[in-house]
Amino acid sequence: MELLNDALNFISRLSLFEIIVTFWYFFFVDSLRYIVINGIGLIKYFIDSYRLKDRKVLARQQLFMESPLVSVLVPGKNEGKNLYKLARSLKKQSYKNLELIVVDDGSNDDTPTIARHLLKRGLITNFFRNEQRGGKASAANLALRFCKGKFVVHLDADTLARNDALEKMLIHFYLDDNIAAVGGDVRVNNLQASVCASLQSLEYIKTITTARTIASAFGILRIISGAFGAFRTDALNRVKGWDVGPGLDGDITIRFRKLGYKVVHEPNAICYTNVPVKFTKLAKQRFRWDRSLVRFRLRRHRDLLNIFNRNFSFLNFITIMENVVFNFAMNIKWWVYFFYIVVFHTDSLHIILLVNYVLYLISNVLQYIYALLILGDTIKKEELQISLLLVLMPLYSTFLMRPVRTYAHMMELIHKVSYFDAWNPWKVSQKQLYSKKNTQKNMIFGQKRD
Amino acid sequence: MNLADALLLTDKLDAYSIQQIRNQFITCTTRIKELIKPQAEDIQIAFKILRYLYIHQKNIEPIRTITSQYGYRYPILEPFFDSQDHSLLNTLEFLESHNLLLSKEIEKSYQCNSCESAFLNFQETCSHCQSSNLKMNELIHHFYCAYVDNKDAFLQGNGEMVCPKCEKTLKHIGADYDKPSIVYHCNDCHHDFQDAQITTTCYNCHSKSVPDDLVHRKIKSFELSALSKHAALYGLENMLQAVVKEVFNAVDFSTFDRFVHIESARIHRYQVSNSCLFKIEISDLESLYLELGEKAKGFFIELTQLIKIRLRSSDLVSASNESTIVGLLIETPEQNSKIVMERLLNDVDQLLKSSINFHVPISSKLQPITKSIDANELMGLLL
Repeated sequence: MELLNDALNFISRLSLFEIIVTFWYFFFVDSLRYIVINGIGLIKYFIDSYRLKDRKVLARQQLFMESPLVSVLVPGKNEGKNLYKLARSLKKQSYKNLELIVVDDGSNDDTPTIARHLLKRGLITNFFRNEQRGGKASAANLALRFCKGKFVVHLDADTLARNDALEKMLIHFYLDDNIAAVGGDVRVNNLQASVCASLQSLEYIKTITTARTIASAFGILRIISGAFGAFRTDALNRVKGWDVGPGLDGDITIRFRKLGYKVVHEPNAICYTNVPVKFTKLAKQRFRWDRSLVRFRLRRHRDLLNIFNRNFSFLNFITIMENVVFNFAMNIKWWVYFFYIVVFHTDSLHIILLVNYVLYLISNVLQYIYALLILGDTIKKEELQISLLLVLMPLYSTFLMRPVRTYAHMMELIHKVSYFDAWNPWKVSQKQLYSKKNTQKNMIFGQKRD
Repeated sequence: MNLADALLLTDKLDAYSIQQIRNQFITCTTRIKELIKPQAEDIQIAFKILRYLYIHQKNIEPIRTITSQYGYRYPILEPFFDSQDHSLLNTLEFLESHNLLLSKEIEKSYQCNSCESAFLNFQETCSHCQSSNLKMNELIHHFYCAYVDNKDAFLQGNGEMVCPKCEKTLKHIGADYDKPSIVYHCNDCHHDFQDAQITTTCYNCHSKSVPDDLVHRKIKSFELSALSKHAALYGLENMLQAVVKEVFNAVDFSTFDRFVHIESARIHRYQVSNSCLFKIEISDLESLYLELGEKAKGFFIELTQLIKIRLRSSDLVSASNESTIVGLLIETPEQNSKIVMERLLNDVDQLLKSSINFHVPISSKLQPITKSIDANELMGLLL
């Protein structure tokens, strides 16, 4: 209480200018990005949704009349335990003309036995197994090579899609011929498993549901989630499938954008996935994910930032810049700000931190309200129950996510650690690491020269 | 040649070889002298085979051959049979099931489920349309760009392999690329799959099948068991099982098993009756045969008659193998069955003390038939 009084006294002593100078990071970076810009994006999303309402009905009719075969690709290692549930959930989809292709990427458990059993029972359409692990991208490409569908849905084995999820994604292909990929909304299944999982659920709602919906509304969506995304098979074949990850989902999205395709996010196509329940595991996961900003946006697709490039696209430029500015540059700026207040406001440090905490809490609450507007009636009771944990979100973002992100960026910049990640077999990673120069010559926009 | 006791080769006509052959014949004739004249019932082929094997001290070995539809033959036994039908195998099965021959598995054989021919054509077929018109494709995984396709997609006219995705040349397997698996393509229905269905076609009767439905036969060699010496010397009718059959007019074991199923179902249906199963097992029967020799039959008759006295005419008796007598005490509750068994074992004990002067280990077991236990489980518990 005393601290709160001190904080109020501190604020009341400052002029408006001084307040802005002291908390500039919040006002000029985070509130601008996540409250103002997102607010505008949200309005745009609702206007677009209203305008597309009737066309969506027609697109749905067209989808069901044509009823094209849709290939659901599930590549993975040691995912046998999830396959039955997954196959059963797909049987319940409102869109029925599906083929389920499972690729076992060198599992060393009973996955092959389970998959072959499900294949015999007709719950799986086709099953392929690589005795030696080749990595997620090659497993997905193997499935792509042998799928027969007009559209492809890439799904992680441990995700369960809502019964209308596939339909909601597929409709977009009938709204616009230029759409090559539609991202599904990934939400947390095990949100009640631990505080860590609950916080991730709130984070997913913020960074996937809200952020991607708004990015999609602005036409600057940069990632179709690997856990749940739908693609036009011809577009996937044009880019010859996925490239080596980690971060292959973001990479292929950018490659689509480079070829002029549109990519969109559908917040009503919902799937639920399990997230790490311990902070240590979460940190490891994010250390892997966050490196893709450097590896793909700053390195592989840096040509998008070149305004003299003959294929320069303003939207693609903004797509990368938004990510680079707010997640990379401003992240570094945050540390500068942090050390600045530590050094120059040592006496009132605790008060400044408290005020920052309150400001970020307000920001989180506002973003949560944005999310609720998008989620509508799809939000579950459990997801509402954990909203009290929003009070922890500033701490979660600041003291866990930000250090991990910064560490990941630095390690990738300096040591290229993603190339040494056991996520890919070494035979694959070393080719990425040592054959880089040769390939730049051969690849244009991640695609073969025609 | 297989039936010969010894071979006298023209280039080895030395005194030592001749003496060896002579010794062989002497051994055989000595054994022949030990034999008693068989009873009228003991002229069956199984008995003849036992005697032959005993006299000549031979084992029964299978040989692989294309001259038999089963894919193997037992040449040593063929002179005992007129035709090449299933009777030879049936006889071996009979002798083995009665513990008169000991078997050793040599190999397993898949045989046609229609005609039992071992001559089958195994072929990979499409799991969708069963066509054998398949193309086998090696998959190539290019490490650099993660592209995966059939080898044909990478192959250039000059034999070089170039990645269709990134146009890099694939030089070294293991360094640039690997072959993660094989995928079949059906030329008829265009289905792609990894696990081809194996289908068999019989060369003899042309029927088609899948390996799971084929007859899986164990090809075995056989040798005489400890019991078989007694059977060869005194006849099969001298064996305990034969005596049980004769004294009780007993049913064979499979019929007994059927009766147990019926009784179990009856008890389950009406829930008013109580019946019990019993088992009497004589261990170390081989020593008993050796000790009693020709008198074994007399002892077994006495033993089985003792059992018969204690049972009702409605009870059912059989022998599950050469040393085990099993019975079904119909409408006899467990308590009463215990009394019957106690008296019976007491009688047997008296008999053993009075007629033979060495210890014969005899064990017994009672198993009431209850509605909660399935018939198969009951038999398992009993035996």
